[in-house]
Amino acid sequence: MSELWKLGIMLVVGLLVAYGGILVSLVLGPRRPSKTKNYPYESGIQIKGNAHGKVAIKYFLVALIFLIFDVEAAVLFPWAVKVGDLKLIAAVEGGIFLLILIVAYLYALGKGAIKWLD
Amino acid sequence: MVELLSNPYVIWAIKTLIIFGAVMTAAAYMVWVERRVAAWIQDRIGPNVVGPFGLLQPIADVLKLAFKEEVIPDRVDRLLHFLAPGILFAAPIIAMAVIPYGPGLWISNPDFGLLWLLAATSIAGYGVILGGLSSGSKYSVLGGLRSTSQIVSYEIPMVIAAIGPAIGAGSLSLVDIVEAQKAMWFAVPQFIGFMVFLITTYAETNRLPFDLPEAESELVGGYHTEFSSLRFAWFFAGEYANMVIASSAVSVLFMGGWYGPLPGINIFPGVHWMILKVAFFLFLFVWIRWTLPRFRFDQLMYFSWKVLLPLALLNLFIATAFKVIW
Repeated sequence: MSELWKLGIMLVVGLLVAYGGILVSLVLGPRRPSKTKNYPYESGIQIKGNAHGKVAIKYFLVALIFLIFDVEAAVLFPWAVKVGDLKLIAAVEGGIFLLILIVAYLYALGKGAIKWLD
Repeated sequence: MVELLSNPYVIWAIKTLIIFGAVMTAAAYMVWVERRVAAWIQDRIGPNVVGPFGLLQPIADVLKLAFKEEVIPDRVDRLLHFLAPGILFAAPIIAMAVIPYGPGLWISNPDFGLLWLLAATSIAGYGVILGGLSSGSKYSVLGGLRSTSQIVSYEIPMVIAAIGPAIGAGSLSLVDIVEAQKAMWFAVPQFIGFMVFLITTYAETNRLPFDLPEAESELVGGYHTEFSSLRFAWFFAGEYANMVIASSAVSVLFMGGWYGPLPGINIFPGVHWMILKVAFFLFLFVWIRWTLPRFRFDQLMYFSWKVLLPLALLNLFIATAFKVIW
């Protein structure tokens, strides 16, 4: 049995346990809905407006910076495996790659992308 | 009988059952440990009624929650509300498939094990995010938003710190990473990376001092306000199962897995070292929860982007230099 099949079996086991449990509890528990019970909980006061209102732009900026660095990290993994064999050349090339990203990081910091308090 | 036990499929099934059972039991009993240790730190007694020393408390809790009514409020996105707790609970089961707990004691050893581990632990974050955003309650939506940017921010230092062991071992297989630490743990040359990884696991599992998505004093229950019955239990148990996986990941990546602290004491490499290390890190989770106050949200963001990220990059430099010069 190959390692991929073992991973696949664990994937199915995980999903079965998680969602099987939820389905079983749907059957086991009582079901008595009422109007007030089905209100979303907002400290018991009358609900006003929709929950999904405006979102601060800061969250969007953080997501953008995350995108840059996540791709960078994904690129670094194959490099990390081989840097021990290729020694200095790979180390220097990795340094240049990181340097470009550090410039981008400093630019984002300078523009105030991670500034949460005004 | 002997033939049956030498069948590789049967051996694999037994190993899988042992690991699955051990991780799930550890997760269930972490609830008990947390309540007892919290009581001990606050000079109380804690749960001691159900069974000897209250040891049956987790079983009683899960059974009680399974028989409770599943309240699904009107404004909820029903599909995501159903999916969210399952994602959080399935992620640690998927992640445990690649973690080596002892010599020969692992479910699977693919050559991309580290990537699988990081991917599965990040998927757990989706449970929290979807749970908050699908609820249709303002508190939950705020919790979901916070957790999105928190998980996204702490993912970067965590992944970059995890590249350190990959450089040291020259492989992404977790078994190779443990074997490479036979002479010296990666926590010694890459101490900075070890600390960064340890701190980010607290943010990834939504534990204090980074439990902003939950923040019961300001957001009621945060992302799980609108969840009841077993869906709430999955959020609750999933958090502890994720803690077990995070502790195992720290032990495997930086603390030498099943190898002892010094090459001289390596006479008994085995699963007991791994159990000791995981137990220590689990206790640390509880200890820190009852010692440190919660971060403010802007401090949380500054800490990740301006402190942890540069430190993680510094660790990358140290790990590369160590590997190239050695």
